[in-house]
Amino acid sequence: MHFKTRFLVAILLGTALLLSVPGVMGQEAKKETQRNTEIAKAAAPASSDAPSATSAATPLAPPSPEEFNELKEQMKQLRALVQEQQAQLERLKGPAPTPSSDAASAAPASTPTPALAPQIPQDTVEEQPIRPFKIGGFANWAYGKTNNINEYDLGSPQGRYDNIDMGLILTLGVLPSVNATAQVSFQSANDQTETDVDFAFVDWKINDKFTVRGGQVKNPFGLYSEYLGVGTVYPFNDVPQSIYGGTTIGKEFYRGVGVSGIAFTTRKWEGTYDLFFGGLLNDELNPAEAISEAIQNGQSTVTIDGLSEPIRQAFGGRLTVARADSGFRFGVNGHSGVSPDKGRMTALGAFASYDTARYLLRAEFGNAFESGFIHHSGAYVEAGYKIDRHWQPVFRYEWAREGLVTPVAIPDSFKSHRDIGGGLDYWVNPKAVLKFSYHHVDGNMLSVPRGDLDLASLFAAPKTTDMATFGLAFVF
Amino acid sequence: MKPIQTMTRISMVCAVVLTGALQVGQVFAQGRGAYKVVVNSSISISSISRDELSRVFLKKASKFHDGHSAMPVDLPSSSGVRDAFSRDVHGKPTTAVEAYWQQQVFSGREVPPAEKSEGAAIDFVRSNSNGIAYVSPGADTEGTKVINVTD
Repeated sequence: MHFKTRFLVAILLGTALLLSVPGVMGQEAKKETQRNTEIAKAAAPASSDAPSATSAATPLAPPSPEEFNELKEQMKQLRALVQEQQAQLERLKGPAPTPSSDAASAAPASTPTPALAPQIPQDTVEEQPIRPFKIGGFANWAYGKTNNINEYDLGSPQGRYDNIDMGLILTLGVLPSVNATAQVSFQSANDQTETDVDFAFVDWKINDKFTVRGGQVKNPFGLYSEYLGVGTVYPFNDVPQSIYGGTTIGKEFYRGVGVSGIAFTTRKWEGTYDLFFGGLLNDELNPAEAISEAIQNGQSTVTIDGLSEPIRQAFGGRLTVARADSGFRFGVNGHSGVSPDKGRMTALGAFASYDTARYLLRAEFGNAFESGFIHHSGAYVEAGYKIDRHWQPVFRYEWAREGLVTPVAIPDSFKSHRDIGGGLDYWVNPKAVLKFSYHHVDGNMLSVPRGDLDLASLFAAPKTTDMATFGLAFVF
Repeated sequence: MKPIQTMTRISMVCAVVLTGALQVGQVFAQGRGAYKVVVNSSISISSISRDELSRVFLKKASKFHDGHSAMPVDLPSSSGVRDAFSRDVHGKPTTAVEAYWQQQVFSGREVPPAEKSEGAAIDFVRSNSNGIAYVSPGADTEGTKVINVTD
């Protein structure tokens, strides 16, 4: 009896371990388990060797005929139990979502089921060219509120509900190697709405190493310039402001001609490049410069708002090195052009990221120079950890600094920015996410009251700001 | 050594062997043996490295190593065979591959391969001189060419 008890305990432990495999995977995703079962069915001839291997291992050291027979009997019972439980699992899981592929995969390789297999007449063979055609879309909405008179990113003192960004992107194969892409978007923020053609360009893929693009093209800068508005790409409700939020470092698009392609490949690493020539649009929020000008002009009021100006004769590019299987990539980028008012403006930066199904770690820094007398520096680090397939706590630290040479003294808080943010994302699925975040901002470089303000009240603005945001984003 | 102790050890070994054998079957099912790669019969290659296969299906390489153009098709994202293929060839689950394509689409760089059911994928490969697909091991691939995947 003692032996039998131990034997049964061992058997039960083994069975529990075996059955816990799909259970544990089911914690990750019920769909995952369903997939594995589907695969296991497809590979039935291979895995059916397992019981025979076990049987072969049994008679290694037969102690006595009675005990051996008893052991064999127990093994039979165990095998029957496992098979019964696997059958129960199958029944619980129900039918697979793709009947056609399931029907084919359920059939063992040695016994194909002609009735279920697709019947393709061999004499009707006809070339089926695939010309790329893809309609994609994204939508973001976010609410943001700050705790004082300062406005920052998505937040305002009253609470801003109209942070909306929606877009449709259409890619159409014009010729086998020529695609046309256009993105139309609707944006709303701060009671202003805008419908626009964000991007429209044609690319000609000459080979894997050389693709030519022309039109209004997404700017290949850093980790996020090409994905502004696509909220499923970044972990917070908006991209880091130190690089993409008015510091003149990251710019959204270029108008002109560019080339891109694969620079080199090794067994593990891949290098890609982008180069362009044309025009850029500079978006800037620069309260220190506005204050300086107001003081020099003897004004008692100043207008604080974002400004846009075209940059001409611009050129730039990016070089990225990635190891696809590990999710690691890093690179350098930059652009330079001439502002009609400010002369040459140049931005240089570098980035690195480590993205896996569970971990996210991204960092970037950049410097923007304006004809030698002013410059912005910015950097950020973001991290995230997927607890399971739904929940992801995220963290960000960002920093920016403005160097400004003026004859008048400007409070230092208007030339510095620091944001420490934490958040929690809930991924409904990989294409839809809800995000909550809380930010503590130090400095008035990017967190400042907006509009026409008298200098005295502007100087009295709080130097620190807290902001909470809640938003959702999805793509299709 | 006492017979009872011996039997206990044997029983433990048997349980572990059985568990291990069945798990090995599952692991095998999730890996290379869970799919086979088919190309149009006019394509001369008989094997392809996993690295090259990944590049072809991520559209980083538009041609096979022999210079023949490659036109891949994917199975639906809900397919278990696709997930096994993604993990084995791309080294990541289908969801991560979809995230890659999301970035490619929204940066305007590339669109993912067409998604087809297994039957339609085989039909496509059979009828398209550049076609390549992966299907379940038990699928009827008559009229196509099954190629080996190497490391």
